[in-house]
Amino acid sequence: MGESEERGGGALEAAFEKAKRAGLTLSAHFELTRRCNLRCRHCYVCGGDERREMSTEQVFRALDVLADSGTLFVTFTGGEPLVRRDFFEIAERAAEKNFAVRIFTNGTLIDEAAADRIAALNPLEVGISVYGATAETHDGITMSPGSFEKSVAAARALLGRGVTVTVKSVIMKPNFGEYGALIDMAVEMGAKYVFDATVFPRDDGGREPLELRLDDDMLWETLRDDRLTGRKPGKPAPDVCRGPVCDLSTATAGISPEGDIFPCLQLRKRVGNINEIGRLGDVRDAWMDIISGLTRETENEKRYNCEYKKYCARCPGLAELEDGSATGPSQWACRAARLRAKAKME
Amino acid sequence: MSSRAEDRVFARAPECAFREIDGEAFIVSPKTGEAHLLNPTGSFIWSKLDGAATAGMIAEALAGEFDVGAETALADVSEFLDELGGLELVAEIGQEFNDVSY
Repeated sequence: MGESEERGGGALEAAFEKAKRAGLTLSAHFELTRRCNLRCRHCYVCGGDERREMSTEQVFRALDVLADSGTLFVTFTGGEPLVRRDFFEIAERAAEKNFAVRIFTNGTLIDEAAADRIAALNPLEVGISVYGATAETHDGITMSPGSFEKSVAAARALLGRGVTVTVKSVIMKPNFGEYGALIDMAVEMGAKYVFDATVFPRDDGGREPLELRLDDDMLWETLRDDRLTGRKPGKPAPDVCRGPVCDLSTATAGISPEGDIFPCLQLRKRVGNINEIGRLGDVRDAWMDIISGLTRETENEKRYNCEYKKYCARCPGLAELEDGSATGPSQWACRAARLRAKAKME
Repeated sequence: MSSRAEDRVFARAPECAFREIDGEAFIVSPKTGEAHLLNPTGSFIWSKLDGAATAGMIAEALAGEFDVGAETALADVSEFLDELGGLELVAEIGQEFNDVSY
């Protein structure tokens, strides 16, 4: 009796399955602000009006709602979350309320004192965006001279304090030639890494970032790189198909700077506002209607059921932004699925 | 520090994040990066770890809740708390101050 029932990745998956069955939201991505101190060429986040952001008290109340709703993981993201003057008040409140805290940041505002405060939060992870192995490449993408040096220094400062750091990157044409060196750099520092080649349109519909996307030859190369796919020697690559609406469920949520609740920060279909509810369960019906509607419509979409379906990692949010429909074909997902199938056949 | 099993007092590791999901405790340790999902009896014990209750008090509550004998309950609680200690999810009060990791 009494012993741990599950540990490690098995426990995480089991907890998410339980949460889905119980209708609980186990994880929330909390976009604290859209403001940022960098000007990344590929960034999809637009605008950023401090006057429209939730106040400190409203964010505190939102954290109360999340805690009362059973949410365990909270990821503070942005924009750049540390541009908020009350960032540490918010993060410290989250730690006090027993959340497992993740912070996604560009790291440029993390000096030694900030690193101390972050380490004291005992965060589960700090994800730091780095877009190249050299200052020239990274700073060229962030449009901010000196940002590479600051981001890397932040990663090292946090690692030196025992914080788990993940180097997060988007592989694009301007940094394609350096992604291998960036993996080496992350490993040398003792950081984890998560790279992705998906570039989104701006959330106001602007398509400029799409020009940075990898061409087919580059994408093909990344899809065959075991360091990126997670494939072990002699084993097939992990399945990528997560169903018609990826893994959308009420087990995860996105919260905007204004408090609007979305199934995901990439899928801006509002289900309510966290300032107007007592628990996330209050908006569950509206939430489920959106997810079940998207699932049904996508499954009925003839072009979704094509020969490459099992290689398809479509994102409904991306499909809506780029192709005009969350349930229709996603040109990016189709391109990647065809190349994955080709890689599998080799 | 007392060596009597029923007098031992444990506290949750302060860095651990946890929630109850459908009656079961789900715990994440930033220190080890591991997640743990406890079964109902483990979750019951976890819920009693307030840093003041002794193992004997928790065992008594467990015996009342799960219809087990007092001796068995104390043995099970002690074994479980030692296991959680090994996973760095709890620390025994009186010992943790010697452990720089807490």
